[in-house]
Amino acid sequence: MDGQNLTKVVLLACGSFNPITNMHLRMFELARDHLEDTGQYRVMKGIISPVGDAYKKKGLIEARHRLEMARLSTDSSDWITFDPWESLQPEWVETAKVVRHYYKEMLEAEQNTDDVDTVKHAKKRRIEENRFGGSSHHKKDGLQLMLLCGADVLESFGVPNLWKQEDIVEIVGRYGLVCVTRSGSDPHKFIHQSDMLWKYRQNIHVVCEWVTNEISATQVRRSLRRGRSVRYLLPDSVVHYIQEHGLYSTESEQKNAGVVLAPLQRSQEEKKVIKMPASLCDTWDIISNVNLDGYMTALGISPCLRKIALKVKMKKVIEQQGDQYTIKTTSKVKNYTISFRVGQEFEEFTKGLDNRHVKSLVTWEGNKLVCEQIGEKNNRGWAHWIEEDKLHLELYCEGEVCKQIFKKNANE
Amino acid sequence: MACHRVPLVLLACGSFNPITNQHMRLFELARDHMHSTGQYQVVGGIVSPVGDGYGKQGLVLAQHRSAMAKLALQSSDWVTVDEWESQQADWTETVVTMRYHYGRILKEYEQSTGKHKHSIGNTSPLSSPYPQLKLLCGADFLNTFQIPGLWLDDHVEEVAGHFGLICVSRGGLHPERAVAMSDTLSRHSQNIFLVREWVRNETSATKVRQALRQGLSVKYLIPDSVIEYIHQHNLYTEESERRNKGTVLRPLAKLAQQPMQSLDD
Repeated sequence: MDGQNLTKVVLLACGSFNPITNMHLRMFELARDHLEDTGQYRVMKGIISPVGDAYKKKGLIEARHRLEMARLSTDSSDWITFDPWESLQPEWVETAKVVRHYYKEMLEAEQNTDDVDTVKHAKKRRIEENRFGGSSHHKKDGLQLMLLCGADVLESFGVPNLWKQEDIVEIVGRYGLVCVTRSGSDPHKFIHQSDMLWKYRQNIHVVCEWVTNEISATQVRRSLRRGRSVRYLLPDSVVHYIQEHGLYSTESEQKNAGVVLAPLQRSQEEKKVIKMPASLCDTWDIISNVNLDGYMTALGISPCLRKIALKVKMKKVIEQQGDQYTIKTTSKVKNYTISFRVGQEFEEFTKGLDNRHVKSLVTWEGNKLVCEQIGEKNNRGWAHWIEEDKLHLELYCEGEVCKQIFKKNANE
Repeated sequence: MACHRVPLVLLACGSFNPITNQHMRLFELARDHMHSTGQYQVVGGIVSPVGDGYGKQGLVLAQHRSAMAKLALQSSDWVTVDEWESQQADWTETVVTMRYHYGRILKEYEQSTGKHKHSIGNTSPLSSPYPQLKLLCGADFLNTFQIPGLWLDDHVEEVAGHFGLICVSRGGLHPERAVAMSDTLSRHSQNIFLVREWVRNETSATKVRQALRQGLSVKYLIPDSVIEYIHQHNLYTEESERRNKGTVLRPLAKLAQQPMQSLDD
């Protein structure tokens, strides 16, 4: 093949990279293999663009460290680079704007060999050879920038107020998305369920990971706080950098605790919303319950118990004192109560449910109260949030999701 | 106090065809876990690639497998590669490899302390306790104890009872179940350490070989130096995967040669 008809692609990954892990780097390799395998694309370059400090995510350490770690980890790659532009902006920049910026740079570089990015000489030469080798004409439409992300980012398109709809349309419609799946998520289903994503489905490339590799930066930080080894989860050079600078302590994890994430803050400002996120505290009656059976099956609950559970009407009472929450779930058959402090891990015994011991941690993610339940079952947890006066609850286990909606109890 | 901790060496036996980051991760997880018990001080780790006589499909030469493991562990300050097992003329049972290494470790220890296990008289109470050797394995390995004919009962007894096991579990495997299913293992459950891996990372050497044959990237799953070695020596091709195809695993062949005593009981 002479490569004349191949569309040249630059892959851009946005995120915290707090810290960068082997999994982030793997995503680039998987995406490149997938795109080139279609016979339509030639991937020339990957860009890692760490978010700026103004993003205000909990535990987000200074951008200069996150950048340096990204630099160290891309050292051994001949096509993945990092770019400080986004992280150097004084305010948080919407991803759509970041994509626009890099697209503009890409076009400029295409017209002008004087590449402005920070790629090392050898790497730069290699990338240029890729870019200019072969064909003599460089049509603008033969060049594409795609946003590379995990399935979680695609799913975050559904989180209220996190994304502006027009931004999603721009990213997916004009540029394109490469989405690497992790086990337990089904991007095809998610695309199918969204009219907007469905419309642009041809611009969304879903890449399957052929080995499960769920290194999350959150897990890495947790291990580091506990003095556990993280070797072979991150490049050795990054492990050394973390040790040298004593990054990721209990203290650093408290950074931005309780601060509203920049995108949510902005959306509130733009909508002139004065009210705080609606309170979860109330008495709630269930009005909708989807896939409870699938969730209970994933937990290994017996068919007999499942049958009973599907029949009863549930009620929830949520109470709060400071950051101490109590959630009582009651029905005619069973009662279940948990108490927890946001941000503080606790031992939970799911008595009367599946009777397992799990380590649970509840945190605020935007306007969602999110719990991760670590134990025998993978991807287990839940999220509570308010949407249009209703309490929404999602329960997760091993890829099964149960969606419940509650309305305010009329008698209260 | 640290000086009363039992010095411990971890031994991992397997194909290492090729060694992956996940293999090395097992050592890190096991060391953290054993230190957290407060009873052990991990003083070393040994990777012992199986010999060519094992007869497993797709197994490339031990010479290459050892070379790759050495490259991968160049940056480790505590895990090393030992070629004794792979250099034996015939496949050796895991327990035989353990006996060899323990003998070697004990000798080194006695030389360094001037102590002898069978010497009469009290050793100083302040002196450090005798070193131990334990077998490090993934949860899938525990399940091999249930495969009829793969293990001799005496050997399970010796590995679990005399030496001890450290088993790192990942994903949906249930090591507790494998222990409960075996009388011998459950009798020695106090000598079997189960380590939980929270990060799901299921890189298997089989999948790595498959990706290599398909020309897919395996970067960040195995060290760069190993990838380079594989390309240099053109390992892992369609042809290499056919090696030993249809061959009976050596442990099973060996067992078939023995008289079936159990039938006479």
